[in-house]
Amino acid sequence: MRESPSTPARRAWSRFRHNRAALVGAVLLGLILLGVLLGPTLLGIDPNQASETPFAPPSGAHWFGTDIHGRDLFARSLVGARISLLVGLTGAAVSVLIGVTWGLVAAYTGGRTDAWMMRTVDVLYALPNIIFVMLVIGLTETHLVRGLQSVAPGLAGSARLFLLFACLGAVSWLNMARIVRGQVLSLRHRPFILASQVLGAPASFILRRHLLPNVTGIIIVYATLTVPAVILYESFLSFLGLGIRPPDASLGTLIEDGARQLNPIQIRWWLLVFPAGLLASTLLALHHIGDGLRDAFDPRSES
Amino acid sequence: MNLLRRLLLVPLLVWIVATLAFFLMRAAPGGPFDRERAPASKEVEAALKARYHLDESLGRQYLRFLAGLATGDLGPSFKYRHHSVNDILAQALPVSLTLGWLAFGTALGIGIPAGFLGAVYRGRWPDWGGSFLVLAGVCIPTFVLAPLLVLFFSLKLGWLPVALWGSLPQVLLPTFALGLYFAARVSRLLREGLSETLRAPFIMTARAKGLGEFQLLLRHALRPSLLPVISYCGPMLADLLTGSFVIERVFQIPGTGAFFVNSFFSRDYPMMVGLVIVYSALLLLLNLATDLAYRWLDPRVRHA
Repeated sequence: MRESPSTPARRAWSRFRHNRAALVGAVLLGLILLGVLLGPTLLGIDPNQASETPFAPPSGAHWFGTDIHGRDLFARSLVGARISLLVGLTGAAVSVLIGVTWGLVAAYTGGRTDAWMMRTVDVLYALPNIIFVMLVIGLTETHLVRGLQSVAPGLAGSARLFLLFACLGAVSWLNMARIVRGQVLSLRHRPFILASQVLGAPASFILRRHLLPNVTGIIIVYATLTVPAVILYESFLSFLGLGIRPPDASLGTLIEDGARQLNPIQIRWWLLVFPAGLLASTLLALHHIGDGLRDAFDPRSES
Repeated sequence: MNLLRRLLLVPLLVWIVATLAFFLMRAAPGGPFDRERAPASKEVEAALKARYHLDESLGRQYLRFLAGLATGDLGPSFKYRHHSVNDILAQALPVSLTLGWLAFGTALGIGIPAGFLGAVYRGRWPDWGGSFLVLAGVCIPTFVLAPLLVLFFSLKLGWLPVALWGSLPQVLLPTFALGLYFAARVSRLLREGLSETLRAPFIMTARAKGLGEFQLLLRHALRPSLLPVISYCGPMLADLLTGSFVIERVFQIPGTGAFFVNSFFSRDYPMMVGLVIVYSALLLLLNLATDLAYRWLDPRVRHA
């Protein structure tokens, strides 16, 4: 039998497999995904169904207890985590798209264009981007709702969600652009790129065929680390009342609800502790996977 | 030279951002007096608009705004009728900035020793402590930590006050809640940096020449390892300043956070634009200061 060829991707995968923390993260994330995707259906509980028992502590009937309207917190947490993950993944995807394009073009073009593009990144980095998010949401939401109502009425309720995808992606790409640019700068003058240029390959071909595959590893790593960052940002916005709207929930809005119920007379800890715990485990899992991938793709960790 | 150019660029950028905010706010649907105590008659609305010059053309309003800006006057608040934006900022900004600086101090005060010990005692118990800190910081965001701290220390144990701002016990929880995440990031950066420095040839040389461990670590190894921390300070300060909104909300601290969110929702144009101006200027200057500190610490950049 022939030994399978040792490609960089294969070696990376083998390193990832031997990283205990990363594996624990992957398993944890798998469990969360499974629960989030199948849980609400299997449970058969409507997360928005009010009942006669508000503020019931955790019990056999309501594993995480109930909230102010008597809604089952377990079902709400799962659905909320689903929204949070959806926003995190889509926002990260948007940020990868912008960041990679920006970094590639800046590094490959070089010169004045590069300087201006990176200067823009520096300036954006130094500005409070929450203002941008607030303004874009405020400016476009009514238009978007109206537009969606005429095209696809079923989606009009999700207008805020689509805006969050776009806005969170649009404020999270700066690091990615810097990293990709740095990588491409170091690759740009390598002999194989020069050879391709001498052979008359157009810039778009070189970017796509030679540069992009060489930065894929690092893009995957930082995309993985962007997901928890976007989830955090969404929760932060939801906490301030700028994110997901009721009756829909994300982990951020659930935590905000829980925090608002904090009072010295009656401690309803479950409202805060369970959504917070779910958010913490999701972030933990994603971080461990991201760290594991970084070590796996780092050529210096070759042993 | 380059620094001077960047310093001169700050007012220009602030002006661009302020202009953007000025027009974007006015383009947002709804107006500042929509939620006037109903029924707001046409006359009342017209009178209000006339009083705040909102009946003028956009161009004239902008010129009026620029003229005010030139004299340092940010205009009246539409929501808090008897206060000017300057008054409100003069009251709220020091509170937010104090919270920000205290949290900054906490982040460095906890993060640097933790990262230092983690790198020096790599793989032993101080390193474990540091790893735990990083883990906690990474997966317990500020807005989760803050209510949890209130739940435990204020409600359960009753040691510290639940909210408000001013006395030392009131300052402790918010500062810690805001600073922990950044302490974790700082400790991680320093640990990685110092671990790498300790493997560098010049450290081996210093050791071979018989330099004491204490001198070696503090004088030779620490300084270059602090560079990643310094360059992180810029984004950290930006995150601290906006991150404090959540903390202010949880602890009901009278800072700028509430004004930020409210002025947007109530279309309080001058308040919002004023906040945008102050915050962008602050952040741009702080980033500049970060770069200066970096230059001062890194001889390669200093002598380049």
